[in-house]
Amino acid sequence: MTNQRFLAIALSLLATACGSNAATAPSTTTTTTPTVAGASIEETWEGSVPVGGSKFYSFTINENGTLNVSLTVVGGQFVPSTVTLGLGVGQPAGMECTTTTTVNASTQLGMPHITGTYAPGVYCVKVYDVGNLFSDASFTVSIAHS
Amino acid sequence: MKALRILIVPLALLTGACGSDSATAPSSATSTTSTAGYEGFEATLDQRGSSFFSFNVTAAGAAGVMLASIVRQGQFTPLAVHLRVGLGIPAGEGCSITESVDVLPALTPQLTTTLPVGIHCISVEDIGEVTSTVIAAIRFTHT
Repeated sequence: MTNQRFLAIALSLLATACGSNAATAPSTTTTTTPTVAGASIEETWEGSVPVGGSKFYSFTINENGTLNVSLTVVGGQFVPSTVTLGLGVGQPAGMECTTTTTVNASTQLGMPHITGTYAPGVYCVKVYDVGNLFSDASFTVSIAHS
Repeated sequence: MKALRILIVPLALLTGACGSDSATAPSSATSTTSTAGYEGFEATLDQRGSSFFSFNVTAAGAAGVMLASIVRQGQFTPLAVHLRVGLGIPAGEGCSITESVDVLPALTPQLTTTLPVGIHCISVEDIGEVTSTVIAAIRFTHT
């Protein structure tokens, strides 16, 4: 009789513990690969950056896709066309562009200087003096995005 | 008897392991509470100048903008001149305004709207009444 009681209790515990599992549907895992759109929209930003300063340009990415940023032209009095400037990509915040990716860019280097896949949203490109300028530099930046 | 005890121990462990499954509620739509954030900035404006400030709206909701004060640079005397205050999206080297008002400084929201999630900007601009460099204080709330 004692053995039967032990067995009854054990079976009762098992039923309580795992009863809910019977109603659980088998889980399925779906893997989706996000579509990456091409950089079909091209914007050209012409500006100038002062000694020790920076400028930024905002744009909107409409769908998840490729972003290519290139420093294509640098000029100005006493400014060699091959001078290295800072180039960054980020998002506007406050009165600045908060960059998440930065490179030292020169028109002599391979382009695009910055490339990546970005989600829809508002972004900015920043050009800044890394310490090479002795006078204001004019520049042209190409921004291709989706 | 000993055999039954051996059986009971793993069964009890199994009870603990499986017990939590029955208490898990199915996930459903979650409610979100939008809390208004309070921000401010000071814009230095020359004659016919403009400035803008970008901010991130994390949940769609109401926004209010107030031109709190204007003072001449280096002075503390309040100025009563109209400035154009606008809301929009950062674009190019500025703020692409979608709505704006020309207002005098006040301590109540002068531009209210509903903003979707994303990055927005507030622009402040001289419309011709500024005669020398001024500092405009902007206060705003958003979700």
